[in-house]
Amino acid sequence: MNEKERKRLYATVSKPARYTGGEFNLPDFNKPGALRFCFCFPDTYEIGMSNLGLRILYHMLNEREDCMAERCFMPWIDLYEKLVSEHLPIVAIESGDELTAFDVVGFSIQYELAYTNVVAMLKLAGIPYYAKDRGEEYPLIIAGGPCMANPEPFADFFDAMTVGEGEESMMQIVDVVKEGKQKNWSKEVVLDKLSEIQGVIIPSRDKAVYDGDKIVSFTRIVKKAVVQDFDKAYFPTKILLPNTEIVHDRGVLELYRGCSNGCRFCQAGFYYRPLRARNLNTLCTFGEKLIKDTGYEEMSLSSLSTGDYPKLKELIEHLKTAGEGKTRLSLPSMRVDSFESVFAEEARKSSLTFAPEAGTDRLRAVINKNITSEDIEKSMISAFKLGYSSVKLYFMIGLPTETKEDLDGIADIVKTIIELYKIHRNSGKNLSITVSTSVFIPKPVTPFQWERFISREEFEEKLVYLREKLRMRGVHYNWHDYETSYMEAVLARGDRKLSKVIVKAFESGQIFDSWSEFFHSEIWKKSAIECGIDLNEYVKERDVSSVMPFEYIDCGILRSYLEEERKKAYDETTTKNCLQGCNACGANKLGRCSLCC
Amino acid sequence: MLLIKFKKRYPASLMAHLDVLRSTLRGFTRAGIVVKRSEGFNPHFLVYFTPPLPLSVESNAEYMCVDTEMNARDFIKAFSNQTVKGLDIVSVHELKKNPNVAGIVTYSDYRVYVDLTEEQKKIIDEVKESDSLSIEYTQKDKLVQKEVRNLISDIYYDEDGLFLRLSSGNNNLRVDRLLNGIKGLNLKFNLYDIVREEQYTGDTDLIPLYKLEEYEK
Repeated sequence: MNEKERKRLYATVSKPARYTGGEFNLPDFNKPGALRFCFCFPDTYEIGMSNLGLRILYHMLNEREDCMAERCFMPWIDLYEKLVSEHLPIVAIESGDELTAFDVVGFSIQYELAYTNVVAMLKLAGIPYYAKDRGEEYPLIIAGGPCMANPEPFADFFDAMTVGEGEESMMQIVDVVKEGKQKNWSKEVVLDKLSEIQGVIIPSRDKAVYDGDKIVSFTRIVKKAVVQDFDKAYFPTKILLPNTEIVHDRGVLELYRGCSNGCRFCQAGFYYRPLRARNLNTLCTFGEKLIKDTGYEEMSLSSLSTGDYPKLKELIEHLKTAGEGKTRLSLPSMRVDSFESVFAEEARKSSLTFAPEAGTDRLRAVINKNITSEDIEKSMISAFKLGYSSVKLYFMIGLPTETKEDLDGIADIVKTIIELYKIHRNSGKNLSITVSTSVFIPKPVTPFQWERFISREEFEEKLVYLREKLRMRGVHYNWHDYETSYMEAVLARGDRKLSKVIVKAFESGQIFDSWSEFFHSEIWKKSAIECGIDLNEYVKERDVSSVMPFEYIDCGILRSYLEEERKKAYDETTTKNCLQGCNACGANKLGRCSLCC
Repeated sequence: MLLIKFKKRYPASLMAHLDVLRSTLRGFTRAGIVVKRSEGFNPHFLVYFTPPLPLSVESNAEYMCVDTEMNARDFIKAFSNQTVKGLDIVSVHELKKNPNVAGIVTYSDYRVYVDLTEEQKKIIDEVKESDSLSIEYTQKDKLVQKEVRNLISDIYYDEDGLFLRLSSGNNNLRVDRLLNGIKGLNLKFNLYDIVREEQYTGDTDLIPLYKLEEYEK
């Protein structure tokens, strides 16, 4: 699409800067003959540009002399409708070329509710949805991202998929495709070679073997790709600076991968193991460079549990002085027990966010969230003494073994916080507490992967109960709705039969599922019925002896470890943090846990 | 105090004003340009812009004032490669004091790159000759009628399309509003066909803003 046409299209849509490109730090695209790669992100520019994985891979591929990587995001509804009505294709931001002009199109799939957008983008690009329907004339369509923990619902759409970390496997994929292009290999030969790379799944070949409705085995086990020396892993500091405000418009410094806590509901905590940290010196250097290369005045210290980084205090001390001392640091993902006055003093005293996840010490033991009511109280006291007056609390409802007492526990925590504020306040403001609840969704690669997802009736009963309990002055309660969580639960443990439901839902008008205003549960239900599929089957409790559709992916964590953890959950027994000693989960067979082993 | 004249062409023409501001400030930080900040609880950079254009309209003459000790030469050297695609520095001028660019702008020149029919040319000639021109437009869902002839300093056509010199700043007349409001003109144009070519201060003797430096002397 030429510039004039793009100008015309973008002139009348909201926030056109999401589509125009031209951002600062754009890589050099003057590489004649280079392999052309297009990263597709099935959500808006604001969300995609905030994604650290995309940032890393985009710049890494563009640093190669023989590769040019571009970007394409799902257009927002106004442009989407315009493209559909005018029969125009989506194009890559940098060149304005259609996706069919690329050698490789790589989708980054971050969450289950983006699956219809994947189909929508393929449709807009004029690319058949199913890999089996695409001939040699189409680019290689691949996928990666956290949803690879169970890629089965969308596996049929892709020629190849990469499970695990992309820093090494993406480079190898580019090498193979480049060689294939030079030697004029057929797609089948390219797939042969790709299947030799660690972490690469070829969905047409790697699949479950069924006996009736039951999975009895798999054609192949695929090992997740893991960066072995994380400290030396590629990390871009000259990153693209968006021309419009994005969700996380700040520098991001990745401290470590994996998580030592082992909360039993948390997919990321298990999926990203082994635990590997960057050295303090490396982080200090990256941090300084990031500020210098971007001009950002805010930097986020990112990981799954930032408070667990052993040298956090030193890192904060160092970064405070970088950027003429004007850099603000944000510390997301802090556990309640890792909250120390020193960190909070550095931050803006706007609002404190904690996620106790469950209301009682008993249920927290079940989910292995190793914090006690006492920990929460201690943290609150120190925060209030520092002048904080606003608290956000996150909980989950529908967790295994949850009872009314656990819901009462949520209200009790809130009441305690109110009382503590009266005694320890150091601010003239009234206390504001926001309680948010989400619904527990059983996810693959967790000890709770066999659990059921609660019914709508149970959800409503819990909701009504909690709303009544949390009716207190200064307390605001909001909750994640049931229907989107239900679909997420269906897709999280789904199999390949669901791909036709996804296509049907899209063809019936469903896109942007994760945006509640565009989510229509009736479309999904109708689509499932038309495809002869009962969605309720996917949210039921699974028998531990049955094989689940994603179990051909070896994420490192042993099945026996997950089973053992589940047993411990029902016994209300906790498992120690990996930093206190290895729990032998199995992850270190894919790479050494540098923080604990 | 530095006065910077810059271009805002595609794709930067589709950047909202606040995004241009944010991007510029990050550029200053990267370039090591120390800009003074306001005092108070939430200090902000002392940077001032001329009134922003509607999204999509392009410009060869946007202005901003930057409160800094740096001289023009060093500024150009440090900042010229720190801008996003479409934002290009034209010139930098040293001023003794803050001229309040947003407040002193009185007129702007625009080019509208369109093909005119004979009928349309005739209507433009009539507007030029006439003493009054009343246009209608919708503002905040309300139909507004306004006499605007006194806000048009000049209007003519040539082989490139239309040229207009319109009142700007505190008594602003938008090009698109004017062209859509002239009865019978029926001119088909897009906002991106419009380019702001210059901005002036003064009432009768117009001074382009980039000459403020000489005017100050």
